[in-house]
Amino acid sequence: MRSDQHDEPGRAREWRERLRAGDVEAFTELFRAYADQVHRLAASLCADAALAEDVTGETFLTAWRRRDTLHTGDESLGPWLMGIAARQSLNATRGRRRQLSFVSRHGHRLLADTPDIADDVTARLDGAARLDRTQRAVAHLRPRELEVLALCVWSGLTPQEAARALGVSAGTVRSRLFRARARLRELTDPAEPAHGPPPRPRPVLNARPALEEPR
Amino acid sequence: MNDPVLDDQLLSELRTLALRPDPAPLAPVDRARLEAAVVEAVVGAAGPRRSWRDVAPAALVAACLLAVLGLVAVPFVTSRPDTRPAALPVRAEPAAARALQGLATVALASTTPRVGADDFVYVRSTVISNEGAYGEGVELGAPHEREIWLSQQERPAASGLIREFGQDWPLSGAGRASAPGPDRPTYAWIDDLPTDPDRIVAELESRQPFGSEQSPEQYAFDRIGDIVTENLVPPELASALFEAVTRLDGVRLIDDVQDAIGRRGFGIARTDERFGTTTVWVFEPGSAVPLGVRWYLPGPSSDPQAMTLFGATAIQERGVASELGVAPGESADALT
Repeated sequence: MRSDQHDEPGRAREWRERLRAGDVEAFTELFRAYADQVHRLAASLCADAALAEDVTGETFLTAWRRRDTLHTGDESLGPWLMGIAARQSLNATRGRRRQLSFVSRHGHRLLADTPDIADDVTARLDGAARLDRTQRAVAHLRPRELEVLALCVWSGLTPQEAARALGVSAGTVRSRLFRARARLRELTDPAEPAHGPPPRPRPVLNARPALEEPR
Repeated sequence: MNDPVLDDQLLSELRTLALRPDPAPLAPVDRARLEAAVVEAVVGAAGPRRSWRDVAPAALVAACLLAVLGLVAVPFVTSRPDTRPAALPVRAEPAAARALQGLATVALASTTPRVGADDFVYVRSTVISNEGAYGEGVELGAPHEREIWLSQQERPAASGLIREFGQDWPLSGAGRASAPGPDRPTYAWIDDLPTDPDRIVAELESRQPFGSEQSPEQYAFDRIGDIVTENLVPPELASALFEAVTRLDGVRLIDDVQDAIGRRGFGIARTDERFGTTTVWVFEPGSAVPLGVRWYLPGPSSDPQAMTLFGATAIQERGVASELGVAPGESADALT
């Protein structure tokens, strides 16, 4: 799925100008155009309906706070929003996963929460296989690998779009995708042990004033 | 390198290695509520800073519900029964209710330090946690120490700190801490709760996040558990909170149970209807301050009584710290 289905060039340019001017109507239109897409990315990474909604809200508010960094071209705003959404989701789930391994307050929620799947048997099987692979990816990839996976593989951004959204080079995005592929190949190779060592709590990503839109 | 063919190969292999999840879409009523909340937060951003989550949730939900009632009224009507009798009956199992009433009496005679807005509630525990991989079986790790500092400020950048596995983990939501409430109980917020147990239950249940599929009883039980196990609670409130637990259906007594370091006592337990997980607060007879908590998953057999421990704590110290990352009685200088 292309990320720019909502805003043809003229629309994107107009939104950029109005957002930069602090136009709340434009913000509302942006929300309506992209809320579902942002939510799907958030729900894919969070596997928790309540958290995904929080992340969706935070994504749009973060976008609003960063509206000054928008340039005035006619590029779609989708990749920029998805970049923010991926980072917000990973921040939110990092805390959540930590809580899980710490048997802290809400540990059982993530453990038991799974993305909802349709109720017929075929869909359930597909869903289970899907979930298993997805969970492996979520559990074993480094946050930055997961981030580009979510953007390029799950949300349909090109490596170039993801690179611009994250403020890194396209080469960096590709090398993260290569690392993700190598890691996932290892996990799905039947010659390998059924599962690797349990994931350890991860250090928080280096603080980075990220996601300002590069010019 | 910029090779579209190579990109395609890479991406299509990744698509099979990590299938795209297929989460439930945002329901129209939730989208409408979220839109109202973020737009309101943006409009109000010129004034005093507030969180979009604070936007009068009940009123907003009601407004959105009215707006889309024709579409999706049914699930919400069934999931949130809001009419309750003024005085709630005792619903916990009789033995649990007696134990809780005992705890309520003991709590009244206890003393807790006051906690100021700039202080941190500090709790040091021994923890046994599930180290198994996500989605796989339970593997309990060795007992280890966990320290937590909980900020008491209204709107700090981070709501606190966990020190565990030799590292510090700042506690924050997506960017900043939420306001004090059931999910982030500060001493001041706890102190402001009504002392009428029925009103506590009503207050907690009314704060359950919209769309949460836990039962209201489980939500209230979990929140009260957070408050009494990993916080400091004014005696009168502690007493009222234990009384409030007697109003919750499904609460039961476990006669003999141990905390994570083997201290024995009795347990107050409830099983989450949705997930099948059971939480047990462990008490030493004669004290209203829990020794620790145990968590169980259902199984491995289909026997409804079968449970697998997946975590336990033993609280070793509770106190008030004046600095984040520094235990009470410890000097910040001594650490450097």
